Amino acid sequence: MKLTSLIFNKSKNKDTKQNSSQQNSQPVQEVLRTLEGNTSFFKQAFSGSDDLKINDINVRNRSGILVYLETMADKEKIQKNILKPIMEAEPNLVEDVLKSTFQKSDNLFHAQRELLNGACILLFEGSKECYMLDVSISKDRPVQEPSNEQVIQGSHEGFVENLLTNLHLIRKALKTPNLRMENLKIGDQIQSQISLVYREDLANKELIKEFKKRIAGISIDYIPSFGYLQELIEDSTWSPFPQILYTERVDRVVGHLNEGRVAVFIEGSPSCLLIPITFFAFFHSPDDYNSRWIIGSFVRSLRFLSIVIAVNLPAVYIAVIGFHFEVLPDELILPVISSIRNIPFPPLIEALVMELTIELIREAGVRLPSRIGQTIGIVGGLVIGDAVVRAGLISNTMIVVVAITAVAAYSIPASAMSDAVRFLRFILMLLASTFGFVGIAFGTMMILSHLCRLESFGTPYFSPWAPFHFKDLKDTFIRLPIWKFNSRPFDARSTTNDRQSMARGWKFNEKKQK
Amino acid sequence: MKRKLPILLLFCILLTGCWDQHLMKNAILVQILSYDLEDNDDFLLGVSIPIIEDPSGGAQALVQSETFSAVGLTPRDSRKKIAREISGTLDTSKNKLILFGEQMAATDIYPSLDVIWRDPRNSLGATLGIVEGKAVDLLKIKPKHKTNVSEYIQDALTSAEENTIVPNETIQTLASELLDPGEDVVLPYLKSNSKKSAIVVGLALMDERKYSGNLSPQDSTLLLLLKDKIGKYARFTTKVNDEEEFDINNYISFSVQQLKRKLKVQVNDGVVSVYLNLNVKINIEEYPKGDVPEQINRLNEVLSKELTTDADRVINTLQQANCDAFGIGRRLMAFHPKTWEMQDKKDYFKNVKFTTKVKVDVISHGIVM
Amino acid sequence: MIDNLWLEDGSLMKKNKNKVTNKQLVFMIIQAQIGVGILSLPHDVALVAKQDGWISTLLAGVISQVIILIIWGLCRRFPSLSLYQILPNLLGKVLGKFITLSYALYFMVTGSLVLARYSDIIDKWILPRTPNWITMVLVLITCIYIVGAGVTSIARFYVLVSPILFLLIVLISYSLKDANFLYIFPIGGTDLQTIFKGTKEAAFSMLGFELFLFIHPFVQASGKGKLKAITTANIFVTTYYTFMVFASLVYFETNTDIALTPEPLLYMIKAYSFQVLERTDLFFLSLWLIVVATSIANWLFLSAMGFASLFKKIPYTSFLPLVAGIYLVLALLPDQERDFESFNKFLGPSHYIFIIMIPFLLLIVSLVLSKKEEVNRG
Repeated sequence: MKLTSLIFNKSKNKDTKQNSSQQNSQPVQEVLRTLEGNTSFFKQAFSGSDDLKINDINVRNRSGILVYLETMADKEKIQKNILKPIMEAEPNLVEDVLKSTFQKSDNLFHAQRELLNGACILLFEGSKECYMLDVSISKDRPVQEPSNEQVIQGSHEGFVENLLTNLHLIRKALKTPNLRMENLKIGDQIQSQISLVYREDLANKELIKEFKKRIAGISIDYIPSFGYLQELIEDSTWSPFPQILYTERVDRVVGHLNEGRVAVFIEGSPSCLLIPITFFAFFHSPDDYNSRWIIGSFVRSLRFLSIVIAVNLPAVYIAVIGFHFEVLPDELILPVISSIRNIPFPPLIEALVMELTIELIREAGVRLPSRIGQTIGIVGGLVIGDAVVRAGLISNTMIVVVAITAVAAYSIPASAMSDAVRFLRFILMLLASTFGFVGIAFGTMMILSHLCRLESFGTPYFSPWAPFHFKDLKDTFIRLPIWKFNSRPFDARSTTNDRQSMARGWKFNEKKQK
Repeated sequence: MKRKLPILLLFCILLTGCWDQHLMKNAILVQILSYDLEDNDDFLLGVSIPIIEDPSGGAQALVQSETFSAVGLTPRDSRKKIAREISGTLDTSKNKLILFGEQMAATDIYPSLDVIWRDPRNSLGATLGIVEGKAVDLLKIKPKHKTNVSEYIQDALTSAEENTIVPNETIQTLASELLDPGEDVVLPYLKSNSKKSAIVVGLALMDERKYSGNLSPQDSTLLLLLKDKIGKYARFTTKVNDEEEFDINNYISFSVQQLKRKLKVQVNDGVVSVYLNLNVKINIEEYPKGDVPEQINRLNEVLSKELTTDADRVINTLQQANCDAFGIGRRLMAFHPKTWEMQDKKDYFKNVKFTTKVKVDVISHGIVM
Repeated sequence: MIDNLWLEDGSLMKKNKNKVTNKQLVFMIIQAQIGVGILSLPHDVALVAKQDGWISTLLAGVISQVIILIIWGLCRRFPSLSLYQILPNLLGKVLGKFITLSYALYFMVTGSLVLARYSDIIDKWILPRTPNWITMVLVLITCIYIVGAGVTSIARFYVLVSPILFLLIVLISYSLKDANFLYIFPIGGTDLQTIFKGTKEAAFSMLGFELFLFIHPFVQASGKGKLKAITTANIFVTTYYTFMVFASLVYFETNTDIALTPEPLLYMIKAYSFQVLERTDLFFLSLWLIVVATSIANWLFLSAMGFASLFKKIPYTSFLPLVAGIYLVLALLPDQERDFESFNKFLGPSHYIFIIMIPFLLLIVSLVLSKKEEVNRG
């Protein structure tokens, strides 16, 4: 019953959505015969906005109008690409020039949408069609390395706010006809363009169908950024863990596309969303693949250690100090006692104060310009840390614990995952302060079972651990040499599993010759 | 809703309080317990607690110790009395050492240990020791180079363990042996000397749960070797010559490098005989007379004979004390259960016939001849 | 109909949600079998069978293998029906529903006994002053959360936490350095009758494989593959238990000492200290909690499923809070060790009935009536 009603509801939503989009995109207003009519149409459409420019032109005795938005169109381009060729062309060739360089349409609404994208519209007296040409101002940020995902070695390209540029970067890196890009529009009132990029020969069709279904099911007035999109399509919004990976790095996206995943770009955002994704992908960095595999494995396992520390260390410390100090060895117990003996607060308060202080310092540092940010770091970190110990409010050991935890949390490459980890820590701290180790055990169990039930577009989130896939461990906690990666990971659910058969054929041949 | 309910419940639980919290900063740690029997049969409990001075230079705090004692009916009863005397809660979870006075040990050590096993918070990693005279007196000594008496005694015991004078045991590992009718334990034997410092003077031999005799340090080492339990070093000094005028030249010091022990229990007509063969390979550490390679055969022979005599003496002492440190009874139970049924469960060890042989091989002699 | 029962919500992505692979089945059975009993098993067995307790444990494994064969034989005839669906199919609606209800109740009582013993151990060893109902609520909430996500997620979780079992083995093995292997001699020194009596004690700890009766329709494997999986699980559990019993027998003196220690495994590692931590038993207990939670989750799952199969079209997840509430009430009833004993006495015969008798009778009935599920139905 529940099932059918839900499906019913969904399909109903879909219907209404389609209706509304019909109203937006389908209406047709044929080009009017008189220039005055057309002029007044545009004026009305843009409610007489001052940046709408309508210029009269006269080409070989045919009068026409040139319509553009001053704020979107580049005047120099108009001069160079439109006026100059038309004016200079031979009288009988004007039609040809128009045909070859302009896009034609007989729908004024279409023209109106193009105007918003920075096109310039050319209309002639008595003509049934209007001519459009993109002359938008390009004020793009240059392609540069994203500051939040830096690497030591490897490509330093990052996405920018322009969708076309981003797609260009992908196409340039993956030169295969199998790379398919699909443009979709979402948003009821103001439409944003998103672009779905995947490898036709690898990506799972079910997954793409599911994604399109979810996109079609969205009914929202406007999507300003990728965060909105992410929350509208992800599986479980009640989870602290991000279920979609977003990255600004080109090489990272290319790598994932090659494993059969799907990338989603949204106009105006330098971040690319990758689906489906697992928990462990958040701990990978392009650096792992560009350094030697032993080093890469070591660094990667260090990151996993860091998440354990970041989640558990303060909780374990609270549990030890408050409940089970007998677990400390003899050599350690007297120094610790001497450090916490005169602290007036219970360990939970002590830890909360320090953890929240660090969060505040971080928050302040992020929002402020970098010069003041550094000052805040010094004042916050050094001065508060030192003074608070001298004042006898917080113990030395607690400062050590909190500092290690902070360092561990920030060493996780994906900031979304780092945030999740820092949030979970507080829950575990509360549990530890009430039940000691028992509380930590239950908290960990909850987190693990939560990770087991999470899915990202039908892919188990905690794969390859739950469900367990031994083969995929090669690129999870450690990174084995590249020539070991003969199959694509299971969690991407790609249609062709084999990636390569003999990556180091020369070695094989040498052996064979012997 | 399904998700919110557990969260709400969780908060209800979390907000109600932390019942089992006992903060580390409020705890007064006990590092040594001492059990004594007063002359009028009263029970005397002594505890040594560390006193932490505030660090002046900012580095490690200075730790001193203080000793309290109280008379009571049982260990718990006395502990209650001591707890009234000092501010804070006594905490025995980090206790490292339990010392028995000679008088107390001569009666029965088991009952006073019951509380240690029963309370889940207590540490089972503590070692036991028996002190000549009153145990609480040992806690009251003020050693010069160490301010914390418990650390001082523990270090003394650790070094004795390394030198194969006392075995490495905890109350946990001793529990089974104490309860086993076919095996007895040996415990470190300590005393405080005239200079107000504590020394380990060998092993105390237990007859079941009673103290019944002791061994000198060198004999203790030999006993541990016979038990196949060697520490880091096992050193002996023996007289091997008579003719030298200057007495120091008559002696040899050596350390055991390798050890092979064979213990065989045989039963003939209800008589239990034990064949104990010990094969040691030694390194000569000190032999002022010099030229070891020349005399190697003689040294092997003399040392073998000397150690065999010593071993016989050690076993004799054990039998007198009725301390079955080798677990002969356990072996009987395991391999000759019928013979064990016939044995006198208490004094069977005195009737065991021992045949001991120690064979010594010099395998190295340092970097001079 | 089965699908309807299992769907938690209408999302289409969850079509293949309730599938379990054969490997996952192995771990599910292992986690179901190893539970609260592991801590006290060596004590219980050694009380009866003395130094031969480990033989009793091995024999218990053999006996459970026989029962497993019976259970498997029954399931094989109905490859896509769980026991709750076989019952009305074979015995008719009324009787079938009655037995379904009694199964659900039986699992409820067994589960609450496990819950009560769990909270008793927590109370004795780590949290003496925390009220027992709170630790119970804590574990029940966790279990509801684990179970509420469907069989696939349960299976994933069980596989994920299985390395803990190996960790426990490592901790116990470490303590063997102080063991005295003479304690298990003479082997077979007690008579056969005593050994079998010990087997009875050990067999109760082996329970849990009956989970197979209820989850086998979700397993993607052939009949033989399933048997292999469940046998692997049973062999593992038998070896595991035998090792644990053996380890405690050689560590503790078998007559007096082990009789004095109700949880020998915890005692064994209590004294050990490593460079950075001491009191290993606290860590052991925290890990053990997870193992117990999985077995409590199992009982919860089975009883909730039983209730759900009595009604049409109510997903079992809606029963979880209710069932957990009853668990809590039942588990709060006993408050001394003697109460556990009477609880156990009551449960003893019901184990025989529900785990051996009913599946065996059902197998015979289905053979006699030659009732069998059409293969193409699944």
